[in-house]
Amino acid sequence: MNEGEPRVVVDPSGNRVGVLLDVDEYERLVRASEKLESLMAREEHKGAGPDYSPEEKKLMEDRLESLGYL
Amino acid sequence: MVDPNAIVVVSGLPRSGTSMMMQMLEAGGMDVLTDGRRTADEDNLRGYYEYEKVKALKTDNSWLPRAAGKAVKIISELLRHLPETHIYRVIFMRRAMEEILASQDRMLIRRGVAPGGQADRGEIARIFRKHLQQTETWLSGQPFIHTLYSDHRQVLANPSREAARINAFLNNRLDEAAMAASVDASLYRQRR
Repeated sequence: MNEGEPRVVVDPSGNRVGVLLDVDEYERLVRASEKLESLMAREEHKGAGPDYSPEEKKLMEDRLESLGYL
Repeated sequence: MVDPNAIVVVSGLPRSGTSMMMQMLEAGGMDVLTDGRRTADEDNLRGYYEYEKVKALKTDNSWLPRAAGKAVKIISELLRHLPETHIYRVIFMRRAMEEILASQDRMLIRRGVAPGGQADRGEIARIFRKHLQQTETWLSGQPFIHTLYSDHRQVLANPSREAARINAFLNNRLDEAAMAASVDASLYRQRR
């Protein structure tokens, strides 16, 4: 096995059922995953926009449109 | 140090003093991005300082590079659609909700729209307050946006002090005396 390549665990039938990683590599991947989750949560929150009910949103948008701002 | 290409955004609810702030910035020597399509009228005797394309910011922000280093008016409802591709310095206008709604109602009447009754006004006030709270929370979490809050009443009461605050926020590149002199309190008749 070349250094840096993951060690794959196979069952008796030859199916890939797991991967062995160095502890350092495992911890690096966990950190990267947590960071990615955090970024995704931030993006999701950002895209969600204000927490308005459809009625509130309509009332506000109608008002702004009537005033000529939308 | 303020990025000279940062986009200066004047924001707030309609009738919160955004046009007045645009006038101050222009008087102070700042380039403003407007198209003059919405001309001065009884509601804004010195003009609206608007840029029509802002209304479509949600779907088209291709014009934003034109605002680099300039001031542009964007109502608070649209701020969330600003892309992270620029740095923004937002001057967010605050004004008593009763004054905002009274001024909006007068404007609606002039536009031939029934502004609604007292119950409607209470409901829209509640929604606008919620909107402002959520917008301010959102603004505080955006690393690409720097925000200064300016109070309409304070601008009228002490234009020199507010001009100095705003100028400091924009890296002291404006003529404070001219900014302060541009504020004509007599134009802002709607009081609580």
